[in-house]
Amino acid sequence: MIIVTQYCPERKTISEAELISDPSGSLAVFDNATISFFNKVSRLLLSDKNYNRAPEVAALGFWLRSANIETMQKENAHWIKAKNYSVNPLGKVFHVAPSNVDTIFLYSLCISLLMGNVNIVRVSSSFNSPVVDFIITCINKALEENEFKVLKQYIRIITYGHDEKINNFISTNVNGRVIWGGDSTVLHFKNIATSVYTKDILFPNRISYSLFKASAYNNATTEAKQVCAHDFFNDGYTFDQMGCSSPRIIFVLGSEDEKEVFVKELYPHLSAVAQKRYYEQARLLSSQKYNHLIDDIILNKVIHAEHSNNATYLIEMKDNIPNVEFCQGGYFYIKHLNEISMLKDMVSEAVQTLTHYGLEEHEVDELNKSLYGKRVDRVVPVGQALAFHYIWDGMNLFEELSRKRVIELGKNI
Amino acid sequence: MDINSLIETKQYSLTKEEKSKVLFDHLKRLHGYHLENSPEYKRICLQLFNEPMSSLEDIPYIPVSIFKNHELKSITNDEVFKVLTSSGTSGSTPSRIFLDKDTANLQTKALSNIMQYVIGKDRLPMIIVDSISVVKNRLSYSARGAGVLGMSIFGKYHFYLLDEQMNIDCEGCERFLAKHKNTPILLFGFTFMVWQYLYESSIKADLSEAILIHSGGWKKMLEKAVDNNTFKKRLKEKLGIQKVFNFYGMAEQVGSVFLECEHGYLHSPNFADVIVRNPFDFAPMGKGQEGIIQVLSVLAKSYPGHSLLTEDMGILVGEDDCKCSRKGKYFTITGRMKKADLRGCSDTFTAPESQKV
Repeated sequence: MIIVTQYCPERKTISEAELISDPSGSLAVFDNATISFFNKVSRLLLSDKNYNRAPEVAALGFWLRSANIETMQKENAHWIKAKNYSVNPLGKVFHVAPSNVDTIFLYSLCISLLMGNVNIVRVSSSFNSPVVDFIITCINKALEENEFKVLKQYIRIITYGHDEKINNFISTNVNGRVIWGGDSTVLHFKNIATSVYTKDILFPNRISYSLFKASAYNNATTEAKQVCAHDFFNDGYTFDQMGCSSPRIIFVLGSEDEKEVFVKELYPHLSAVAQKRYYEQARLLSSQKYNHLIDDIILNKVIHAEHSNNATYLIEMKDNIPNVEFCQGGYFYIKHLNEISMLKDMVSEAVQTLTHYGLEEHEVDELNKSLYGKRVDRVVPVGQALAFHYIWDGMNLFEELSRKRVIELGKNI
Repeated sequence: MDINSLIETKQYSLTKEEKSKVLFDHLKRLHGYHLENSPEYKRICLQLFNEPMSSLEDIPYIPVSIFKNHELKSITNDEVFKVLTSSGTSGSTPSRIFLDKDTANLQTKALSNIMQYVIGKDRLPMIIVDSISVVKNRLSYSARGAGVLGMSIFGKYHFYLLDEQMNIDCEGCERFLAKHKNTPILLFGFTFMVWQYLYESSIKADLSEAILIHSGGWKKMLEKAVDNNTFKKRLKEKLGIQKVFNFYGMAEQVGSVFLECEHGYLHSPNFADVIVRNPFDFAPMGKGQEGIIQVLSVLAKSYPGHSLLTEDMGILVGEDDCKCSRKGKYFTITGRMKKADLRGCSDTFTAPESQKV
């Protein structure tokens, strides 16, 4: 007998039968009810003064607005409205949310629900996040409105400990699984036998980089430098630099001199923002980061270390491709680049996002072309690293969470 | 003042002006020595500390955990006389500290000078609140073994309170106390061992003549909500122990210990010092503010451990003006640095402990 704690649609414990119960009706792809439901959730998220200032909540709130969802709908209309096939839900989808990126589970749920799927979302039992708690409260509140009650059958947000029995039970009773949470989680769930028909959408560990054109930053106004530092801070520090999309290496494009000026210019602006917004965390992480810097220095890897406080470390490395595993809480490696085309040899399969600053359109184009065939999934401006897109890790999640039925008419007899 | 007289003179005698000059000279010389003899130390200093030094606060500091990941020494392999290992925090790689004869001698001399301050010149009958098994393997000492051995030179007729199965030898203890009635007794053990085996156990004894010296950190004690005052109060109530001295020290700077005074503060001896640094930017902090403890010692010659940034937090209470009349800086330790909770995408679902092989 399996019992799990349910957070949504109501907070209570539920049994295995309830966990996988089928809805009575069906939900269309981009159903109007779904769109207005998320619009309602968005309004609830954005109207709370305690939470709407948190960047991840604000970003989520804006993403869920009907205007944004309708834009996505239009962008996908070419295949959803195609003549020779019809788009159908996968069926029942199990989402395993990452433990610490608070908002991912809702993006995942939203896309899946827009495709008409029934959803079981597991959030980590070690979760102690007021943000998650707040989001769930907003969802539950919206579900209480008459017009959205029907959606209750499609959303089940639950939690349970490390229980293989429950993992197995859910995995063998769904049509699709969306596994966030990095390598260990992906491998863990891959090892659970599911039906051969079950579709897995997996998100292993990724790392991300940033590319700055030194001259553009060096010649920018003080105000522009501050804005950039803010944007870069949001990308780099929001998830303690450990999000898949958080930059770990900063590639500096330009001459040797320009690079040196850049490091000296970026440091004070970035660390000023970090001092304001990351003070306590910087204090807690100080010895970990300092120890790591000492390790890097002893191993003779460091060309130059810019760090007058523990919020921000900019470490120029000798290694061609530094090992970025440690980079956390504001420990950025600097690598000098003479030209854009050099980057292609430095990006492994693990690289997901490349944020850029100061590149002209033709340079972004050159970058994109030089990366042909490489597995870099996003090239976006600094400040947009964490902005969720329905095309994630190279997959259009709307397509991944639906299936297409080919329809061909027979000859008229 | 040369190093021997610095160690051998009566401790806690130098005032701020005298001490800062003497210590700075010694540490500057040690810094120069390690620059020449430890390539790793040199690399760190060249990269991170290139300003000219004008005071103690300018002496480069390296993190204490460095000795876990790297073999740092300023002597040749032939000169290594002893390697100290410390277990550090449970489960982590141990530190390895390479000592030559000189350094080991200096450490012993320094420690005895500090201890004499509270136990006097004579060796006292000694009870060790531990098992003899911790010192049996002479090839590799644990931190506990090294501590017990280091302290045992201040006692005689050593009696180990615990047998090899960690049972209290009550009869042995009674015999020992009967034999050494009305004479001062030295009692030594690690703080949590003392608590567990003297306070929490059923042992009954009159230890009013004992001088208890203990060390090893308060982490386990704070989990039991026992602070220094409670610790002293309870031991006095139960066993009559009047004189209790905690000390702060580490395997990475053996001999250089900070001993507690009657007023409950840890004191820097003449040949060592502390600086409290702000965790945000490592800037030195003044009195009354909690920060990371940096320890300085003139003893570390065979390895570059003369200036270490610890992972302990503490507060500088004052300098030269403690009610106990000892000179020098005095401070308290408030605990280990807290570890940050990191966010990030990975590790939703690592297997529970029991499933790991």
